Amino acid sequence: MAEHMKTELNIWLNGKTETLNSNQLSHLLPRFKAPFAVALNGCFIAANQYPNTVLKAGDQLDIVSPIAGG
Amino acid sequence: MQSEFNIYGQTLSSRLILGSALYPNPALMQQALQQSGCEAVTLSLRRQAPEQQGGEQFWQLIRDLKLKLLPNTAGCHSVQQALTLAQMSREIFQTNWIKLELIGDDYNLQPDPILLLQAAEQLLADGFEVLPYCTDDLVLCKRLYELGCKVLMPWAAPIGSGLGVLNPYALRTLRERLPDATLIVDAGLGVPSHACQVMEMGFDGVLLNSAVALAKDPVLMAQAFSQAVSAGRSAFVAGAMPKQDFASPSTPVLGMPFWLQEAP
Repeated sequence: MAEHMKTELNIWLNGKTETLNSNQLSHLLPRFKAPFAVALNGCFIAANQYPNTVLKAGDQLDIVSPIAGG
Repeated sequence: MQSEFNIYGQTLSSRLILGSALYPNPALMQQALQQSGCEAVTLSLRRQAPEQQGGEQFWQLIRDLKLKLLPNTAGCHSVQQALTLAQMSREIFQTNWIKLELIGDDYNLQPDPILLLQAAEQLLADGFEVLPYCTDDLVLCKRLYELGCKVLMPWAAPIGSGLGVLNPYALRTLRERLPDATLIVDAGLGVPSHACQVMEMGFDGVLLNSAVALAKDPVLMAQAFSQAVSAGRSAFVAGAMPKQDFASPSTPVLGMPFWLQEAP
């Protein structure tokens, strides 16, 4: 299990700066609606890796969902 | 009479694949997809904005249609972007199909042939069933096919242009030189006759979005494209007559009245 950290950290969340109170990815995700998928610093994070993913300052997190496309 | 339309082992009875974007509203998108008879639809992924509810409505409408899903990597400019978006798509949409789009020029949205090959190779190695959106370049298409892309999707013209087939020679050449590849014309078609034209050439299918979604009546246009694709396919299977540069009377000449064998 990833180590929990209480201190604040700033990341890029969907292109905008965001201050988090936790470094656990899984703590951030409940605010998003399923279905979604996650990329951290441009790399895919599979759903089964959410509990083990620790965020650090400056990370770029993308959370995407289905939209129309051609 | 009509042979099967097959995408990586999955048989589709309709040779028309439609996109889900640019419709005036979600209800018209749903009606157009239904009336077209298409069995596969393209869609994409973008950043989720929690305050926006539209995304959920779209996803519910698409799921209700029970179509096969063909996610794209639209907007990607690097191999890594395309790989990541493909992996995210596979997790959400539960399909190995990926419409690989890797843009090399922002003005005409022309695919980058070099990065396309690199990304296709990596995606195939990762178990994806890759449908690359590519130009009509024969050598590029040969290389993609040799890599293992069983389906190739050359453009007719730039995305959203509606210009129709800009280079019929190139498309005819692709069909002749890659007889075993599943070839789907993707992008640039504007009216049903364009779709009919490429189907008459022997292309296996047609993928389009703007021509239907931006029509004054998208539902009617979806039906029109469906009919054009069917007509073009039937014509290809039927086999067209040979062309010639001179006239040949269709009515028999023998027995023509008023004609004398000798001058009176």
